[in-house]
Amino acid sequence: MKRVKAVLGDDPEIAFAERRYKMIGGILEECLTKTETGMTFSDKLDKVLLNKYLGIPIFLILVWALFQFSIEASGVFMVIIETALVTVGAFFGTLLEGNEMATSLVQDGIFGGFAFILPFLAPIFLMFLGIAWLEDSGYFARAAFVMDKLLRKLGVHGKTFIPMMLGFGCNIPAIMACRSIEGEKDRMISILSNPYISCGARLPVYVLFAAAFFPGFEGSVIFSMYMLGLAVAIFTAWLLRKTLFKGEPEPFIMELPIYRVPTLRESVLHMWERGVVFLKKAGTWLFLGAIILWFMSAFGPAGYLGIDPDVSVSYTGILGGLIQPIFAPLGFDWRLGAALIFAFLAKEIAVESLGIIFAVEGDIAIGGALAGVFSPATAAAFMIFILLYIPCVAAVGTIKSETNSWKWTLFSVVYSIIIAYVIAAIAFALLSAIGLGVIGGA
Amino acid sequence: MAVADKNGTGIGLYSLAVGLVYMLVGGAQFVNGFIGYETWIVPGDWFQGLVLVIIGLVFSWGYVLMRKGDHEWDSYLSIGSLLAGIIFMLYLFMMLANGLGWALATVPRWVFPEVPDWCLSFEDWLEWTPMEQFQPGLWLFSVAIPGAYLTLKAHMWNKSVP
Repeated sequence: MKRVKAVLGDDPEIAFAERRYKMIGGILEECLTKTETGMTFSDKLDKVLLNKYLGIPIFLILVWALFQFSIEASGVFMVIIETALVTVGAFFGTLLEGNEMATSLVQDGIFGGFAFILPFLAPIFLMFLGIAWLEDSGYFARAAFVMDKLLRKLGVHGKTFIPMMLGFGCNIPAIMACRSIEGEKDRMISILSNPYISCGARLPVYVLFAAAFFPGFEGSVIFSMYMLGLAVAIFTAWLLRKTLFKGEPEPFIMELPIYRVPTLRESVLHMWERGVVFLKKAGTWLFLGAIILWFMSAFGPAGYLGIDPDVSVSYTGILGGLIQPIFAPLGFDWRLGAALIFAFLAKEIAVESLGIIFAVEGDIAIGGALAGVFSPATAAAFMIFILLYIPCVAAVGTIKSETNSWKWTLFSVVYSIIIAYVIAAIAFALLSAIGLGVIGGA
Repeated sequence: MAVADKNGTGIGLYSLAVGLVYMLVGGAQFVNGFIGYETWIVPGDWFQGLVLVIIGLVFSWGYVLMRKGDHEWDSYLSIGSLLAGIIFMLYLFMMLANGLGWALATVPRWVFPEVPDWCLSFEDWLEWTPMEQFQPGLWLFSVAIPGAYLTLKAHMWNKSVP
């Protein structure tokens, strides 16, 4: 390989690509008659979108617009879904009248749990629609190209950014997409840095906390969380390159698709393909989670605790109390601690568990209940912890299968907990120092 | 097909003017966001302000390149118009969504003699007015419309080339 490099005078991959395109260009020159010379509209757009100075700010504007679109415009649709679920839950509750435990399971456990989670279909679907537009227009490939310049300076492969962008939807296909990265070291770096990219499942937690603690700035707060996730992913990739996977990244060669106006049909189809994963999860994991949560909150060592139980003496309360001392420096009490444990199944379950623990119905009520108990600094620390600590159980399984190593899977889990704790603690301390450490302080 | 084949200088000056307006209003919104000063036309929000400043920068960059004799300067006018259009559409969609919330909160109160239970869920929208979404990103687009028109025209023409 070294000899080939010396003969070609460049990296073999780059040299081969250059010669290939030179040959294609030569053939086209011979068999095509151009009716117009000059830049195409696609080339012109690239001139600006790939600009050395403007490329990254434009990328940030588009991502910000994506989150504003999905968060700020989804409020009314969330209330529509929530109202429908609460009404249906109440109807089924009346059918089971007379059996207290069954009514509690159906009304509070199943429909109550769904009423916390399913309204988030609105921002999730809108976000996926926005991502589909960016992807179908041909811009996403450019985003990877723009970020390559920055990533390469940090010793990270430019292709790493493509799975990162996919991670905004779901980390599992994103981790699997790392297979397309050729070098083993580059591939491992991409897999181990991907879980910090904020997937759609974290969105319900941000929407709930941002609306309750930072009203009027929800879009910007959520955008900051996504950017923090991206920054931690890039930092992790840099750290791995400097320590465990030393060496130069492989060259980044990519064919940029031409720009096109996305069609509504295609975009809706892509939105549906991604969103349906969340729906399926709601019908399986979240349904199972709702039943486990209901059981652990309605029962304790003393047995069934009745309707509107004191959750602090339930199994959930006991579990949360066990880990509470560890999280006390972040301002978390046993309730947030318990939510973190359940969120390991799927991050959205944090919202469901808080709803059951606080014994309220609907996201507006839970938001109010949270704002009355925690400070904005605690809320920010919780959002950061949810963003960075262990991805869901399915993502951990994917890391295991893709790395084929328990050692790297364990490394990923432990490292994520440490980095989540440290960054959440720093954010809590800084926000407390500027007066956001008191309840109702935003 | 270029956006500005003829009257290049005029369109270049227009691009600069739009850029300056966006930067001025965006800058004011950015500062208002930090000092907590609010006016109905330029509410404070440092991030939204920054977004408008960057859009203004894209428009103005085109003029600078035109002065340097770069023939592709009008790409910046196209992208500036595109970004301005995206932000405009964003606020428009937010206005429509919140308008729906307002309709669900108020219309049943006029129609039914007794307010239905489900209608109470939309109480947050009772006080909503379109002015809440009347952000600079929305009204500023009016100055970017000619640029957006030229871009759209050029793109359509380009598409029709066999």
